[in-house]
Amino acid sequence: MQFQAEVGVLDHVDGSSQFVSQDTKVVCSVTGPIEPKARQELPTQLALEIIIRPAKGVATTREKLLEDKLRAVLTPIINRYCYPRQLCQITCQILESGEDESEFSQRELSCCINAAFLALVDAGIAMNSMCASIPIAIMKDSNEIIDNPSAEQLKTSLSVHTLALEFIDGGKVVKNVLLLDSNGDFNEDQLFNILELGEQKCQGLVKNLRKIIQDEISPRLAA
Amino acid sequence: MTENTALDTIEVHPITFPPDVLARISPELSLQRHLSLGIRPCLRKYEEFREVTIENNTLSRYVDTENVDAKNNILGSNVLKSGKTIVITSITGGIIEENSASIKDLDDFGEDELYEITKEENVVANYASIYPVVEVERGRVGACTDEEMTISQKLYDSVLHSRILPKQALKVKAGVRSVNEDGTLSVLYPDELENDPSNETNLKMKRKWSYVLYAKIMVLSRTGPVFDLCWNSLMYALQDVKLPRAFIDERASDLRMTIRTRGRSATIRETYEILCDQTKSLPLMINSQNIAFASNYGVIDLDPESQLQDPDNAEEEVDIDMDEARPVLIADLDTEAEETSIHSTISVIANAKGNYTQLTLVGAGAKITPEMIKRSLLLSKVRANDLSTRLNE
Repeated sequence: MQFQAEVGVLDHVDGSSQFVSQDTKVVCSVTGPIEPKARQELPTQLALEIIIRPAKGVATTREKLLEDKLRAVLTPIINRYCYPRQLCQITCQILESGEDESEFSQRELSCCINAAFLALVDAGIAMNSMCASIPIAIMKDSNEIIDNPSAEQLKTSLSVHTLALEFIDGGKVVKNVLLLDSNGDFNEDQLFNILELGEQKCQGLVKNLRKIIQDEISPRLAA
Repeated sequence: MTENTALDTIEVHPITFPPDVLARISPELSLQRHLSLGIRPCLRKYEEFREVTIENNTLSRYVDTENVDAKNNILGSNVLKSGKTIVITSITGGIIEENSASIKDLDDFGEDELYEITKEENVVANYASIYPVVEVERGRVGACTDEEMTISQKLYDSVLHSRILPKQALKVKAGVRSVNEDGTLSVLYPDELENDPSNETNLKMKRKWSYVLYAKIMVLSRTGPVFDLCWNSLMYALQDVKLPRAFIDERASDLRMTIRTRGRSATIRETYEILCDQTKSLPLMINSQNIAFASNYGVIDLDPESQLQDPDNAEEEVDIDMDEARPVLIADLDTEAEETSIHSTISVIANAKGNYTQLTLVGAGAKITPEMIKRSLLLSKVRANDLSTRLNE
């Protein structure tokens, strides 16, 4: 997956990142751990407030569903028992969707997941594992599996998928499938092909994400 | 000192709770205890589904085909019961005017050719969805919850990507109401006049309309995750939807009026008033081969430490490996204990042919292995096969 990413782009929050892949661009900010509102507080673990803002207009149920999926991915990778009775706010602002928003959200979701992961690391929140996410499409006629499809490829696809994998041991071992969200028309063989290809691609992506974090941190350690 | 040690000896009594109290205090432990016996808190087996009973179209205005209830605006309905949960789906509709005619709508295409083209191009842009509003009744009023919003949106996305509802099926074939010589009103529909081609050309209208469909889904006595119940209910309801025929008044069929704005005059064609026929209706032509049914699964590791010891053979107890967690697949999640303790879930929408249109896999708890996925896909296929026969019973 071709992408450009930066961490620490905002200076009034605890952690932030920008993730750009093709025409999709997302900025993510993380504030926490902070004092929660009484209704958000969890007695034994960190509460998460996840907000996704669309590229245009106000947030709708579409963004609510994206938030729900992002929460499903982030909850298991954050070490939430480290911060009892605390809150972490994660806000993703989509700057450019890079796809037809009325029909697809796969590109945006993948970029939000990757951006949120980088921002959480930048904020210094304790994590259990790493994650990486890619959008995938299976094309009509050719049945070709394409990772990181463009807006045009999504439109002529037969099925579209978002895959997020959890990595441990320095990004070498896949611990679990955090999210596989598939829509369209597909069969069992295609599904397992997606998981196979997705594992390779996510592994490459997680290596690059580690590189970005390393480049950010090493000068600070040297100083 | 010696006296003190004697006093310090405390006898520890284990605290015991009745099962229902334990289930409230520690749902996780209660669930593990049940699972170790090979059953679930709802007394089903691991891969046992709840029975589903449906009633289709009992609320619709077209229940009695002879006597259409014109005051009822429900076009299709379904009542689905599964365990204690009841889902009531009612489909209503509206008509919108299409303000920009796409290239495919040009008049040189015949209706049938147009249909062939849309069938050929099996892309999402040629399909419409339904606008669902899910209401989970909890005995209190207030703003809609996140769960209601995400289920509604997921239903919308899944109907769209399942390619069930072609845009072509929602086009209005409008008729014209005219006054006869004797003063009575009669409505002529273009497709009812096939033997009289001269009339058809007179009825060609420049404006296009489409139906939009709304679904109100009410969930009563929610006991567990409800997305799959809502989806199945919506699928049953959609298969019996009838769209009312619509017509415009002859006098308004090509009315133009001149208006002046800031000194300039412009011709504006008045919007037609489109009316629905009180009695006549057409069935909604959905892509019935894409009708699919949903089921959900959970994956949980059996915790060997929570297993109940059999009091009868406590002495000859076998050495269980306390570190070995065995994952099991649980079908059709229900009850609070399962919902709160099972974090790895699989949700599948499958059709009877063995193709899938939607799959959501969330691995926040136990590891989801390829075997688990294979098993859940197989079960979904069997379940979809079973559910698809219910409508004809």
